[in-house]
Amino acid sequence: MATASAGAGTSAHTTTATPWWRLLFPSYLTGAILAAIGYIAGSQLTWHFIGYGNEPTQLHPFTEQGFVVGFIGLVLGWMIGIGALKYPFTWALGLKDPDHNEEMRLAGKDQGWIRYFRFTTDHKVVGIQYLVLVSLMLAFGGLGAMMIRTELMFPGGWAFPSETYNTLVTMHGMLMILATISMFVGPFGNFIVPIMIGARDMAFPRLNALSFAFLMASMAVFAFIPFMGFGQDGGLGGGVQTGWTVYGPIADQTGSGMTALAVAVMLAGTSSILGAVNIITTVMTMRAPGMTYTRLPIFVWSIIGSAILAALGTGAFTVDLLMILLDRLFRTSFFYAVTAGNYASTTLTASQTAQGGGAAWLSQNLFWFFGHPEVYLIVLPAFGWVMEVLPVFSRKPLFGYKTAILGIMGVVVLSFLVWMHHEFVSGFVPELRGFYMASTELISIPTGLIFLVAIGTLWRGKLWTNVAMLFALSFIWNFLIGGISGVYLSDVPADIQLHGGMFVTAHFHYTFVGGALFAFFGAVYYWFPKMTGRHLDEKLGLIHFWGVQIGFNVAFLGMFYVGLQGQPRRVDDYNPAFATGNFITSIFAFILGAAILVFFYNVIISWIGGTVAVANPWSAKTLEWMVPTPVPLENFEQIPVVTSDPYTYGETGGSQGFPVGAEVPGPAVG
Amino acid sequence: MNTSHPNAIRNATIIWVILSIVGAVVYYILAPILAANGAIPAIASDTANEAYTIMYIFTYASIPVFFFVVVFAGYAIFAFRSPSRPTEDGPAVRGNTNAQIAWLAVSFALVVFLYIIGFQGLAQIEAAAPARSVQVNVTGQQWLWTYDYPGFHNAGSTTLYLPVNTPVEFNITSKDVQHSFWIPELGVKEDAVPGEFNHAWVTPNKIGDYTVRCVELCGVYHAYMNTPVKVMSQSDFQTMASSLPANPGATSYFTLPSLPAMALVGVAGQRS
Repeated sequence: MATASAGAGTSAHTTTATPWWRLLFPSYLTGAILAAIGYIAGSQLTWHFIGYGNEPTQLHPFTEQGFVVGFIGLVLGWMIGIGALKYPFTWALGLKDPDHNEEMRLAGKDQGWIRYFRFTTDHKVVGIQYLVLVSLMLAFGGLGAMMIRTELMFPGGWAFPSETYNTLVTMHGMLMILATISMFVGPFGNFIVPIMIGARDMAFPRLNALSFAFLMASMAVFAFIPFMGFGQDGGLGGGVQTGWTVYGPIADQTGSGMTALAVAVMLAGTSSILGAVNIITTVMTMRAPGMTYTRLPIFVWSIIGSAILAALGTGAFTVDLLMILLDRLFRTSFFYAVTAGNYASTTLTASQTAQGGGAAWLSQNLFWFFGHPEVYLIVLPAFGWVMEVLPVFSRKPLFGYKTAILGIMGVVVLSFLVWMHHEFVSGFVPELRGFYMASTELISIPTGLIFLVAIGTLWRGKLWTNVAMLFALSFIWNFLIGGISGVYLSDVPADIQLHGGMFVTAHFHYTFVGGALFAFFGAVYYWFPKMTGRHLDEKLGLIHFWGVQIGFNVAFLGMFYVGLQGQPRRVDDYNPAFATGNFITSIFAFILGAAILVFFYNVIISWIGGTVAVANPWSAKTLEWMVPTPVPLENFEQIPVVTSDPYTYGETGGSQGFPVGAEVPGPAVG
Repeated sequence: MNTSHPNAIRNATIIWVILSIVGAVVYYILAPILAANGAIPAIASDTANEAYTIMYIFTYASIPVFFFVVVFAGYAIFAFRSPSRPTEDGPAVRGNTNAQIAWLAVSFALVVFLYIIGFQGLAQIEAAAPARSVQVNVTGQQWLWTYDYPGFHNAGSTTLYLPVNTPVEFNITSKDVQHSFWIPELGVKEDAVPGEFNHAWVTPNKIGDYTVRCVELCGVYHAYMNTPVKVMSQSDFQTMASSLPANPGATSYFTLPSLPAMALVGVAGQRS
């Protein structure tokens, strides 16, 4: 924990717990109140000065500048209300730095449960906050998925109006992307990684809490989308007709929900970049003595890889969204004709786009320059978790530790060189298609190394197939199919037939859901005992596992089939020839959804009353299992000295490191 | 060091080889049956044929790769599984240089194989359009495709008429947002980008009725942005193109609220 410099004067600090109702300022309650006030003040003031609406002929009835200023007010109000700006404010005024007691209070010392509902710097609190928020994001994204599959269950566009369906597709996609970006780095990068490297907290604890505050603000703005009911046909639903890829010019033209979406994603991108910088600094500077890079747990390597991608790639998307907002609000023409956004007319021509100097291609390139590293950002921590957990439940060292690092870092480097494979049919310079085909096919090599490491670790081990291990094993099957289907898409002639169809959708759901999301489930089963002190129920876990594995696989294999048949993606109606495949996919998607409900039920009842966990229930060797459960505020009584990597199964006993002067524990048994 | 499962590698290899052969044979039998029953679109050009041939080759190559991982991982799960929580550690094997080198070598070989197939295919589709191609200007707009034939006094149509066994070059653009022009049976796909003209060409080689589908989400009625394609004999095509009106059909943007979705079935062509 970073201690403040010795400041003048000390605050009167008591060691008795402060009553929870006194801790209500600052808290999420005051944050929400001030956020609401900020939104109303910002938007109403703006509309007062620039007018509420456009001329009747324009596409968007409300001047969107008001919404954007309102959102800025919302974020400011939120940050002030939760107490995020207290110390920057006192610094700006030249007042004293917080002393150690104040830092401890900010970290939630002696505050009980209320510390989870405010700006708290303890990385363990932030980790739990992320776990809950990410789970809610996944739940709402999943609800959107169930609605999409309801529509697609039968041909005929029978369930929702087309405009609502397109907005659902956009929101499902964006919410799931934001959730999967944070689902490992947020809960486990925050809670587990500092303990894993022998640190007392992150390098920048306040920045850590700020990252989370930005994600909360992002979700508050995101929630506006369905209510920005000014779509093209005037219906409710926000009218965002673009898909999560938000290509210009349709992003410029589409309903007012797009403005909320852009602001929300820019906030989430900020959260992601801040978190990435924090993680990289923490791992570089705060490792325990003896923890060299070659003794780092492989999960930490994968989190670093993911953080590098987030830090370097997110900017392109932020800029893309900013350009969309500028086109919509200020009549620029980055992607669009001379008229845009508030000013969009109902007809626009290609020559107008050229007059404005805009280029639709710019949108694709900015988006995918981020979009491709982003998918590896999502999946790398899943690789890392699987490789972390296979040694524990095979009682064998990680097979090819350096190979695994090569795989992770190879993916990090190459992922910046492949993005135009998403644009093979966009009409870009044909000679370049060969380069991107080659780079994309090359990236299959580092990705494939993960399978070598996995099989080698399992081989001749002593396998304990509990639920966490089952999810790690299912990753092997699911990501294999996802990866092989990616090879089809990397070949340009094949991609010409497959691009924009359901084959692509099936491919990325196999990698995101079958790979990353299932690894997330497994990580929850694995680390829940350390984070909450309780075990998740194994029987419910088995129902959850088989339900999602069978539901998911049948559903998305069916989707490969209709993709080959020729069904485009993002359609709410299709040729009746595709009906059987869609029906099967929908039914098994509902099974997948039901099994995830079982998971949420398991989490809730186990958190309240599950089996109490010991400090090291899995007999693992990474440092987080060497601290007591619940984990003390500053993690370690004494920072351990690390003498080996955490994969000494069958070699020596004990953990990766042990406190100075402590007795070396015997061989790890049971 | 391990007395149990002394022949694990040998057994797993045998299972892998058997499953790969069986898988390849099953696929060899099933693929034409599935294709004939609509698993892939009807193939009406060499371009489309090339694309599906590549996919067939990839599938055959994927079978042993898939089974290798599944069989070795699966064998490990079944052979080395502990019935209850294990009470001792496994062998302290941290790697196997031969295995790692072999894996990297095979991975590289597979990538070289992909390069060969890929660059060959790419060369075919990147050959320039023949000089005598019939030109068709394709204009995408929300939510309708229109076609002009500059070589036929700019005859226009909302149905795409094409001559068989004749190269056709499409000059594709959009009037508003990004669309994507795809004829599945002919294997031609290119984005319709506002402000740009993209080119793609193909030679249809089978007379028949096909469909243009839009494959870039372009707004509310993206799903309905389909038009019929009629590939006909060259003489029939000459007759048809000469008889089309000079006006390129309905090109104005229709106002949404007055046009319910189902009505688009008639205006924009088949809903398929």
